[in-house]
Amino acid sequence: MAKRVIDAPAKACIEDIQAIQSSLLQAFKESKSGDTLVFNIDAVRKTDSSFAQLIIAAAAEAEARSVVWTVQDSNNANPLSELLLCASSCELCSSKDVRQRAKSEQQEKRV
Amino acid sequence: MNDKLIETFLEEALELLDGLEEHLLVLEKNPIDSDAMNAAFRALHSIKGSASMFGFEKAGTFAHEVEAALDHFRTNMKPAIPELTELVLQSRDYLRWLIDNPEGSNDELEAVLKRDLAALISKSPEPEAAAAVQKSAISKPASSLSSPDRTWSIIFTPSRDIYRRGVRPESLVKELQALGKSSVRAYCAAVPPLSQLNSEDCWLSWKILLTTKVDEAAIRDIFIFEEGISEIKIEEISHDEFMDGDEVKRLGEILSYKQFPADSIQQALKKQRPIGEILISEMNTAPELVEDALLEQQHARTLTQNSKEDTERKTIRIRSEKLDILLNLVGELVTVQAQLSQAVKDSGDRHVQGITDYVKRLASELRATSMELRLVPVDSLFAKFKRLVRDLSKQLDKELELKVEGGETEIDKSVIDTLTDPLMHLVRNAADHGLEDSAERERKGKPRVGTIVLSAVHAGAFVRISVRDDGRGLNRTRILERAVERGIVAADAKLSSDEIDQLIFQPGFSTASVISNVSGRGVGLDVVKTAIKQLGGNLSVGMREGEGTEFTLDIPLTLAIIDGFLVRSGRRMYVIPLSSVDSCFDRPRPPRTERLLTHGAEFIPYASSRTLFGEDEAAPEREELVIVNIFDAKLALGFDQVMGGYQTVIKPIGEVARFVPGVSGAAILADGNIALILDIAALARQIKSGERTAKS
Repeated sequence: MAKRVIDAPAKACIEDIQAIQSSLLQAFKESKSGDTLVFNIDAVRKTDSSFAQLIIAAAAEAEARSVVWTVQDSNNANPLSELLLCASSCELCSSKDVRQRAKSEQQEKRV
Repeated sequence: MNDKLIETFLEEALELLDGLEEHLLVLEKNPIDSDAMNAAFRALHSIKGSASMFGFEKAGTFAHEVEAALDHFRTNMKPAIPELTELVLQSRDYLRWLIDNPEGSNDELEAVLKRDLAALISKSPEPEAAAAVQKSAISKPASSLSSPDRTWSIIFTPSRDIYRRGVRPESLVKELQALGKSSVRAYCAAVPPLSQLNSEDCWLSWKILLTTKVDEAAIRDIFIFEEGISEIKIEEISHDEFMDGDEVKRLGEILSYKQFPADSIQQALKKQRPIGEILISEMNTAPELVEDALLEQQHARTLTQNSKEDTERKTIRIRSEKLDILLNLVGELVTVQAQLSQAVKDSGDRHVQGITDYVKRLASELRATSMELRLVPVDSLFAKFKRLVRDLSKQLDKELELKVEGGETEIDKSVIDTLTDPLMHLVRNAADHGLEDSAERERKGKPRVGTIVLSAVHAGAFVRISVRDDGRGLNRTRILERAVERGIVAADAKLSSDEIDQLIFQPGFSTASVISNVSGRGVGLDVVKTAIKQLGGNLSVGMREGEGTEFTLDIPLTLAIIDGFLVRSGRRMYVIPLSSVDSCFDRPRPPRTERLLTHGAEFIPYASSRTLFGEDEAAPEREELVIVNIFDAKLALGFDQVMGGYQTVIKPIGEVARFVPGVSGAAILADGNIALILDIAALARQIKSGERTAKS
């Protein structure tokens, strides 16, 4: 079970999104089922909803590939819910929940 | 349970009961007033909830019964029929009794009230077509927090290429948020997995609930460059969808409003788990429906929370005893500060003098602020009489109406508390003696409904409260006859009209031939007069034969601290309330016989303090005159010396001194001596009537 950390750049807006997507896709390609991918967004200082959309897409990708997906936002500086202006507390908006959901689904599959 | 919590509950419960009474009286006059209906319901609902929480089980249970009856009319959008308001008013009185007597109960009365409430519900039919006409008038929303606001549901699905067009969709959502109170939900379900995503495409959409004063056009303006490109759906939604009055609806209620099958909701509720979770996971309910309902519920919470925070930010509940303590401390500070100023003045230290002046200014501001804390609108007092007049109207079988003028006038809370009983007497008197019954009024060409007017107005250091009716006025012949019968005046006494009017304030005096439980026991007006005098005020009466009577109460604004004007006469010091002072100047001492001062074009009644209070010391050659205002008149008072402005803490004076005419209290001066505080209105009356005091 390998663990990879992908660092997001300081600027993660629509102009930068393709590059970020590429690095994430590369990481997924190199991961096996059960591996862990940590997307470290601690350095992100400027962002927009396209970045939030990318994280959501990555979570869906992880789910499809049975990879444990974690968003590391140590200072809670870029919560997904704020990027999307969303007041809902659904699973996608919480990196912890996303991680837990991915884990629990994986465990279910193992059983 | 914590005594302080119980005290808080009691205070709030009494306020709610007073509010309930007021709303019911409004409903009685206008049975389709939906605001009053909702406000009455909310008051009952709050009483019910908090009574049960604080252990007042009987009150809580009974409030529930009353609430059910009121809610029957409210939810069915029926007018509040007189039987309902009458019954709920009686129930309100019983609730008050239950709260005052938590251990007691009046089973018989309670049973009758419950029976009648139940009967009222059962005999009241479901709304028919005719009632539907009134639906708009008795519409349910009536949310106090959002009456001028409308709530919009805005679904924004950006075009796929919005990012490529250089538009940030979240910026548009932010602009919407700036228009009012909003709740936003982003929909992400359409976002494909990363490997299938063209990251420059937008797969997100948003739903925004916006409560705002702006109209649809203003909302559309935000999307002006997206019109026809992105999908924008705007529709107004009713507050009923997610709110019940000011209460947030439960999820099940919101779903129910959305025509969601009641059976499914009931089944889900039985499972004791979050209803939304069960509906989605076990009943194949579309998640969007539950998510929508959750968003609406959240929006309702946002609205109520904002409303509560607004209110909480503006007001804070403090026990009046704490304000009394604060004011006493400020009073002591004012006295000590005066002593400090005097000591520093004597020492001649200019540096300390500057600091002392600053302390004096701060003490003065602190005093003014503390005094303001205790001021409450007189409306809170007048409101109590609406129910009284309504009940008297029924009891005496007279059509009566109470009007209130100047309810916003502010007066010290301690003064307000002491005015309830005197005003109660006067209002009862007006209803019983002053006002004629409707038939008699019609015969006299008057409106059938007799009017009692309670009014308040500021005048310098006083507030003038009057109780006026448009009834028959005082019967002076009858008053004089009665006074002679009772031996109050001699049979051959020659009294002026004013003197006859004053007889009604004699102890035990009444012209009523029949003693009723409303008035007429002769224990009213003298008690009122004494109570007002004890407040340092004055009660007077005026009337026009056949047109009505007016009782006027001149009450000092505060009983604690005043800005005074310090004057000296011989060795004695006096304080005149500064707000009464018009002007002052000196002149050669006039002859003792002078009674009138010529001041510009005015003739002003004059009296020397030496004559009024008796000074045997040699008088200086010159006299300092202080001209004071008493409502719409002036009075000139002569003193030996004017000392200047002086902040004064009023100290109560003894029983004997209390009735010394012209003196309302005493003050301790900086040097420890005592100054008497002059009651200017009383002095004016004394001068007018030619009385002389104090030589004794």
